[in-house]
Amino acid sequence: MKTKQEQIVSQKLQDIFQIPPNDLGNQYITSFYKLFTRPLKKLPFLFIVPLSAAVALAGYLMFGHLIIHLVSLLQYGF
Amino acid sequence: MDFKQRIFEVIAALIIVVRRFLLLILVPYKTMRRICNETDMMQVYIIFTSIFVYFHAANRFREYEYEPIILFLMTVVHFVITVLFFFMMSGFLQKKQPVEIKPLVSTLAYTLLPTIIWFSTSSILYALLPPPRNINLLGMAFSMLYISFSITLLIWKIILLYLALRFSTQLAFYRIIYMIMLYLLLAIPYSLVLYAFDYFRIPFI
Repeated sequence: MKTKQEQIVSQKLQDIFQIPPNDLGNQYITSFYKLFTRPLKKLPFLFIVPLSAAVALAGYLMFGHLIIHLVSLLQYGF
Repeated sequence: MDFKQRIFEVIAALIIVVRRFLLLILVPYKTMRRICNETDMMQVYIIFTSIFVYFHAANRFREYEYEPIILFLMTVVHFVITVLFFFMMSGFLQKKQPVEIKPLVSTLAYTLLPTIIWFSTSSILYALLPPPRNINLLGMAFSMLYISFSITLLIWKIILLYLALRFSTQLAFYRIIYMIMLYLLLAIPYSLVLYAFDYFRIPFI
């Protein structure tokens, strides 16, 4: 009969070994992948929202008023 | 007694779905891992019921060319095809252990959350601030906000899709990317066909 703590540890170990770690074939690429994905595992919106705003701003600076046409198109999209 | 039991099951599943929707915003990795270990199909039914309700509600804002029930059934067919596509592809790519279909169904159903949010918000905004947009300051501000919001949901959708496939198929990064690219290669022309026939301007996937 497992104690509660043993059950928690067992569950944690199961979680850790549920999927094999990603190996992207190159040590640097794998490190970069891990560095990039780590913040996305918890509260990803802290990174996604500023990134989206930056992309939207860059889109406006590059394409100007075409962005407004795109929004009109998307608003008809549902 | 059996009916009462069924009602409790539905309520419990509804609470779990709402809770997981919130947790997918806060801790998507951990939550998707937990969803993958689920075998309760009631949660999938609840997600699809919300889509059914959405199509009927959206039809009031702007009448569709087709009946909402047809659009809903098409969405279900798209989902089934998507699940079968990833199931067969991962079965082909995953040699180490067999891929199970139930985790794939559960996790992919939860990836519809950003889609539901985007479509619902767009419908409400269509009623509140109907297009076309203007080139004045307020119009520009709204456009920027709307684009940022859409990109945010798109990135979140991609993350959830990746996690869903990663946990349910246990495939590595490159193989998941190949699968998604192949899926898009088939889905994009199909979406254009749907657009041409006025079914969906933006496909509900």
